[in-house]
Amino acid sequence: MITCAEAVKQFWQYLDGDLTPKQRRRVDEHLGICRQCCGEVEFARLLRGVLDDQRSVDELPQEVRERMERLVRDLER
Amino acid sequence: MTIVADGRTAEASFSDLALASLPRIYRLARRLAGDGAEDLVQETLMRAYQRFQQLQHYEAGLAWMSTIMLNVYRDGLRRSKRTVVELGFEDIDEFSLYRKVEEEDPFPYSDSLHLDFLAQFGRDDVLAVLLTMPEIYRAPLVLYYVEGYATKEIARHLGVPLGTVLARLHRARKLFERQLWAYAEREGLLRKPRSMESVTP
Repeated sequence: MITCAEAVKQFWQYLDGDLTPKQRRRVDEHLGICRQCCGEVEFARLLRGVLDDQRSVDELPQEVRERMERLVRDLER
Repeated sequence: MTIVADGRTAEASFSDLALASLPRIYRLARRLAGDGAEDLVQETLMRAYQRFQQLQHYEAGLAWMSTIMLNVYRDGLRRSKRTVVELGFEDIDEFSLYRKVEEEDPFPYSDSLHLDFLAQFGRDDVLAVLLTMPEIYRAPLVLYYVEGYATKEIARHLGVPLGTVLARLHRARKLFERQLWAYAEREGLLRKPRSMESVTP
């Protein structure tokens, strides 16, 4: 059985689906008996969501947009 | 370039693609290059214009533009010949933000401590946290979790071995957790949860 410290190191990869079947089985076994680590893995899921949420940001400042539009017009001249 | 849509042939211009791509490539540039985002976008547009005739399928234009940006970014890294300083594993390998929040208990009256902690971060805060990270860790983290690239693609785009990408990604996750905590402390996000601001005196 792996320890909490060993499990914690692997939670992001566990959620990413990047562990080998053997590693995944060990993490699953650990989660089956460790409530603390169940909380950890759920928190890791939320953290991944925080990063994923950056995808929906539309932050192009108007002045940058205008400068880039001018550049594109100049390139096509 | 000639494109076919709904059986009709039309001329697609570079400007159509460039303007449609701007929000996405700026978002990527901001997360890769921080304050250097505009320069990165500008150089990307110039290189893309020179190569526009090589684009085979207009529908692939957005991905093509992103690839050009990653090439420009990688070339810039190589040109700058910056010394790459890898973080030691000892410091961060076992860091757990979950446990840190639990131990420090910043919101003692909260029933959902970890959720309340994350609720303090707006999108701008998360971007600010990302920008505190060294580029060698930020780039794989952004490309993997924000942009959805596979690790092999990241290795190819950044011009580093796959093993290096995997090791940096591992450290980047832990570093991101640690930087979230440091940012929350520095910016005073740990005083009280936003959800409780209206009910506490």
